[in-house]
Amino acid sequence: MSQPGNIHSLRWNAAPFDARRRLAGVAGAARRVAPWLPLALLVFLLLVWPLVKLTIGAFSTAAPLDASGHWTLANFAQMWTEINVSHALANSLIYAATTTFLAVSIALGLCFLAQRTDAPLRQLVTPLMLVCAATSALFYAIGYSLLANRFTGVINVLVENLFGAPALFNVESWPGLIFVDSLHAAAFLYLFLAGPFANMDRSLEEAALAAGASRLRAFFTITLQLLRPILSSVVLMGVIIGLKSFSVPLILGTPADLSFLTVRILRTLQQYEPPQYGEASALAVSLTVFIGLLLYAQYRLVGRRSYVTVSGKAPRQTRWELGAWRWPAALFILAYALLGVVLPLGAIVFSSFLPFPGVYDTLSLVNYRALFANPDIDQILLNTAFCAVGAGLVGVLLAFAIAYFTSRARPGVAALLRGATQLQLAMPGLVGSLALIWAVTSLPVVRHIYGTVWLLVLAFVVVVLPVSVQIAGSAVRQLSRELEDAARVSGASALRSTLQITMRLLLPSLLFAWLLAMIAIMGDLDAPLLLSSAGTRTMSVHIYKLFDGVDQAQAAALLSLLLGFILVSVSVFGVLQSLARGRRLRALPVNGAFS
Amino acid sequence: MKRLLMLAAAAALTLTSALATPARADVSAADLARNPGLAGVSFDDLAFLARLYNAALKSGKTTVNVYSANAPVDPNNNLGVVFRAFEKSFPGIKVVGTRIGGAELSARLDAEIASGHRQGDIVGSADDYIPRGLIEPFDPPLARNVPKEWHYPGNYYTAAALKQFGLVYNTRLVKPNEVPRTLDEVLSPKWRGRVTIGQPTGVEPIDSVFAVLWDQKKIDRPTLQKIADFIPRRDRAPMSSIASSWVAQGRYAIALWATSSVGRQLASRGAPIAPAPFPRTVTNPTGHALLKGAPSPDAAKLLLDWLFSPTAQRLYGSAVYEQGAVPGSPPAIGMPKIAPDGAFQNPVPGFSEKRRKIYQDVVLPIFGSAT
Repeated sequence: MSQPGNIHSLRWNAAPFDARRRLAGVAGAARRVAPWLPLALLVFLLLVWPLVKLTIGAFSTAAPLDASGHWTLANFAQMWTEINVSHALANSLIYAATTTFLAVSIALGLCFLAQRTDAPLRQLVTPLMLVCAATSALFYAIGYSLLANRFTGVINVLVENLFGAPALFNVESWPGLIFVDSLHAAAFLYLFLAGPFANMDRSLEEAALAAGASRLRAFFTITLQLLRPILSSVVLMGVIIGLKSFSVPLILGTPADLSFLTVRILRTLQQYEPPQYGEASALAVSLTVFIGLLLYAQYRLVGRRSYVTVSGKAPRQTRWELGAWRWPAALFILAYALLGVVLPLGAIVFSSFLPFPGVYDTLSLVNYRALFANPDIDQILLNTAFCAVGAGLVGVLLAFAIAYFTSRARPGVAALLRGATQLQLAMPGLVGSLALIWAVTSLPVVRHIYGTVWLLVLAFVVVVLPVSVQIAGSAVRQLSRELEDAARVSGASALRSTLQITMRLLLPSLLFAWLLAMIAIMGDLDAPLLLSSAGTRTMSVHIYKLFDGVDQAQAAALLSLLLGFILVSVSVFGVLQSLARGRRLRALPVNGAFS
Repeated sequence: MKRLLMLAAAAALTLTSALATPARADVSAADLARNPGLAGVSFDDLAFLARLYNAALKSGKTTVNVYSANAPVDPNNNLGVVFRAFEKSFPGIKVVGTRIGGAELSARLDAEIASGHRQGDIVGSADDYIPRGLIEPFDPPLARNVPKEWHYPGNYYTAAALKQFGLVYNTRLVKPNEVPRTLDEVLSPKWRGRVTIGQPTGVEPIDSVFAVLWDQKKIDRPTLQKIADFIPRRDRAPMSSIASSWVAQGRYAIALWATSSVGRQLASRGAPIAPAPFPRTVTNPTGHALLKGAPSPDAAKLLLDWLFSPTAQRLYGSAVYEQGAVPGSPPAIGMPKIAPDGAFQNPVPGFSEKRRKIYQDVVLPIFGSAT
């Protein structure tokens, strides 16, 4: 059969066959990739391009908008000297480590009590955490400053008047800063942990208990091991929050004469005219690289294992009975409620009725009257609502699309895309906004959105993307692919199975992410501070400007209104969540967080 | 086709209604003379204002965006009172003040230029932007009586009011008869740990204060060292305006070279704070300047000129707590008198460079850098 001539002829015929096969392969790959290209392009423009501009700024003697600059490495040398002389680097690292340890411990403790035990008051934990997370760090810092500064803090004045004792608490100190930021960060971290904690199947733990393991051993060897992907994300998030923390170090750290990296960036921009963009960019790029390495380490640690804990079967969710430990557990929850929500937010609401913080003679509604006498207030409220709802939804939909794609893509591509979404986390607030300005104004058509509300929407999408991708990623990772496969085997198309199975199962997570995005946008100051213009001012910017000026009490009044808005949002979400539960969508990642 | 006809009909209707609307008659100087907000303005000056007003209304560019660190956040207070009076005098023109300064303002102006979407018309503290070519010269006719030394050479801007950096004190912590009257009294052991000051950074008002005092030989190194030793960094406020707030809150009894008008504004909100006479007070004649490429140039010039009218100058004193720069303007209510032989930070080219040099050579080695 195999004659030489035939062999030649086969080879001669195989060449076009290989080419056709390669062509078909390329076409197939293009077909597979094509739907995701717009997504990849969007991620590039929103997240990577600003970083490129920032990097150019770090190696230039002028801002990227200024063509007169030339390349230099001097910015990094100056930055290195600066952060070491002022101890900003050491302080920030210590701060990030201690706040992460404390915040993760608090979040784990509260999560365990709320989701896995019969502790009294456990139903309060999640709403409390939502309110706490929703309160931006700036407002939290203001709240604690009003509550426990050693001069006029409400609590210190009260103690002094009641007992004649000098100031008991001084929040403007190392322990004060760590305490305040840890309380705040714990709320964010809790929200990441709550869903996986609640929906984890207890059968593995029970198997361990049946095999003779103690509860404590089962918790550490089974529960925490199963939660490793989310725990590593949470620890990473804690470190990043600590490193990026700005408002608390600025407001509480400055009077304590403590220097931190993020505050140094602000000072670098403030202390020169024109601002030293290069040095600030060098610091921001260095932070980005550092956080990028952390993300890579996390990927290496957990990225290749399967942690599917939600499948077609309903999980077993019996609670641990705490016995004699029920009431100490309740006290722990109550203490968090008091310190994390009631006292700081109460101080803000109380101060809104004062003529000026620290002046306790009269209480009146004068600040609220002044607020509503402002002809711009309608526009400010409208801008805030539009950005919160619109940008929140766009950001969350984008996040879920990215999470879905990364769960189906090759590990390398997925890690790259996921890494790109986390880049924004690394950019310290003010510089992140600067980078976005540089990025937007360098693009021919897009640059016309500068000064409009659309730029704010874009910025807020960028702001909420990292956290939304984390939530979406956790939700998608825990969904077994077999659910979709089963639908396809039953004859459903790929689109139908995605929409009717995956999307429906992800809906509560999506709603939850949207709620978080909305409240994050309402409280975010970093993005709109540089990007909002006269007609696009948001509530957070107005509050900051009032506080920065001479109208601190009016700022407290507006902040109280903002808190009211957030409570309404949380309530609306509660109703939606109940409706979702009513539609038998119980077996979902964050469902348990609100049970 | 049907849709095309409908569109054509709609266009014809719009055109007809536009043509049918009577053209707005120009406002004359005589019309403006009847306006109480323009009382005391000469007929020639009214004619100039009328020309700008009509031009602004005709162009439809009637919103003036003011970028200034002193712009009011609450538009019913402070400089907002002045702006509202302007809007009342010139119906149809709107002033939007944005409180912005330093790096934020610099970044915004750069971005507006790069995007081609300019929004700012007027900027406060123009000294840093004049060398960068961002300011359009404009000589307001109503400012002709303002002393020459308060005009920035080249007519880039003219000071409209006088801002004081002096001493403010907490009225609960300091009895009126205890208020220090000299720097030596402030630096007495009695006040140790109870005095605050803005941390010098190179661009803060306190840096301008030190630059003026140093330049005019009213302060020397030993005195600066004494101040730095007496008020260590932990007692210094990150900004001069925050120093006033700290005193209002009772954190400190006294603030040195704080923005006195901020102290007075805080007092008007009920805070226990008051400005006090202080011989080393530094007075800064401040003004607003027209940005190049301003989107509403006529309306902006109208505002810049009107700020020197008797009404605006009076409101500077009663609502902004800064004395008007036009001679004969009423003094700022509740503020110490400005001594004619005191230290003035006059608008002159090169002041920023001088301030930076004094900061680097003299102030920084003594006070150290900010945290």
